Amino acid sequence: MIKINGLKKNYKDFNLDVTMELQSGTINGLVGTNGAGKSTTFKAILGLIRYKEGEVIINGKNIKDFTFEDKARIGCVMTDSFFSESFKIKDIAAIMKATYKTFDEKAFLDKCEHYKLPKDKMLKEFSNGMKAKMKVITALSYDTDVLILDEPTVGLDVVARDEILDEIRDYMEANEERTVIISSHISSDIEKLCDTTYMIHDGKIVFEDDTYKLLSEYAALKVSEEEFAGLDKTHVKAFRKEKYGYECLTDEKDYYIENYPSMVVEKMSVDEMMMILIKGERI
Amino acid sequence: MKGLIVKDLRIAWGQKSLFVLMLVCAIVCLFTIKDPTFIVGYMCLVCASIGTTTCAYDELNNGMAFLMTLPYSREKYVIEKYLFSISIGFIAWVISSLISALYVIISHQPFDTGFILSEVFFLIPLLLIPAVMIPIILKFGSARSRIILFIVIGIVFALGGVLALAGSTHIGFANEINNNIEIVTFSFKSLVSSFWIAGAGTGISLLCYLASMIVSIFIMKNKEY
Repeated sequence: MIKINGLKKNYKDFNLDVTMELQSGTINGLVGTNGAGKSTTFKAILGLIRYKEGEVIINGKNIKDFTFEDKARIGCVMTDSFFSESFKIKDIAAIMKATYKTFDEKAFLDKCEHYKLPKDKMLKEFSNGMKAKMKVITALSYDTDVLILDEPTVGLDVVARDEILDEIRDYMEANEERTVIISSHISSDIEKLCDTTYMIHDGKIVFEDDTYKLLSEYAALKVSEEEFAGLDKTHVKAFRKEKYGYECLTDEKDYYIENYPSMVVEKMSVDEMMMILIKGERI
Repeated sequence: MKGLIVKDLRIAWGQKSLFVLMLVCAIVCLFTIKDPTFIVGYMCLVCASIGTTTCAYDELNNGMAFLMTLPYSREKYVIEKYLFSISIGFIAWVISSLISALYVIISHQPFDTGFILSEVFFLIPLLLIPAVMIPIILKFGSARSRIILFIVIGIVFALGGVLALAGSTHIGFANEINNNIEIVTFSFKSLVSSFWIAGAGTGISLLCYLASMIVSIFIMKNKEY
């Protein structure tokens, strides 16, 4: 379980103010635009930045009190950071073996072979897709309780992305007490993988709900100005002006289908929901 | 700390051909210059900077952020860097000293305390180079630290130049400083044997090394990635 209580981090032109509670046994997606605060939140969880207010608690322990053993139970993928690119796979295996007691060298090397990662080349000679796979394979190569994945599928094609998502599912199935938090610009990854979706904007969590609910109960109501004026907005979360009138985000699409049979009710992707929540007005 | 040591050894091993080339150059120079202390000074200077080279490698492609997610504290990261630097430097010092001693024996040069002391003196830069470089690289990064080092070296040389030239100038205070330095140095040499100077120099350098490590720990603890 990961608890982030009132974490505040102030930069010159950006302020992060996040509270989240990620339950054990869940995969949690964090979506948001560039600069919304996703990577800063991950850095705070990983102890890479200092903050004056708030706390990050992983499995009941404040990360500031973490020992070697506690830190060794966390796996992570960072979108822009990894081992030196002068290393080869065998170097990474040697370092991981010397670092993590639970590192499974055979499984790691098998996975590298499965994903056709060249053993005799330095990381700097890898394609972006290969590097992304390497990072995920490394993070999954030892026993952890928590997995923090910042854009793990960036640079991957559809097939490779699907394989990586399967790896994460397998990781969760192996121990259902684990917690995963993942950020991605590709909303379909979040929709396919995550139990809960969090949306972050301007350093604040602006929305959170179960992903299955987002996909089954959330919808866009497309209404004219007259319809909007007479609309029962009890279940409208946000709306924005469009050429034809208004597009509204609801979390009770069945209510509107039953009570407004002529209304256009359309399913939405996480990206589309994000657009309304960020660019529209919230109720 | 084992993982960090393995990482640094792998980085150093990646440059093995460069080190072999440098060793060959040093041996060739030893036989051409015919100065047995040259190889020790050369190898110490090269190997003393290996620890700082690994810092630069860690930093490449924003790698420090990922390294800080490994289960090592920032304090341990710094301690490992210093232990690694001194270990590699010391090994290089021992090997080059042995080669140097072998050369002295082969070439029938005097194997006396003067020779041994000259070898011991090289422990001072061996300790001082990483002591200066590591905190600067950790604080400013490898790119900016190069500029800062140029400035620092420039200032040191400028001061040295001013003092060296002071004797030929008619500027009162410069003359006075220069004279005082010469008096102190001369008195020191006449009072204390070279053996004690080498010992004290190494001891002071070791203290600087430890102080530098404390400064580096402080720098790392305050860094954000």
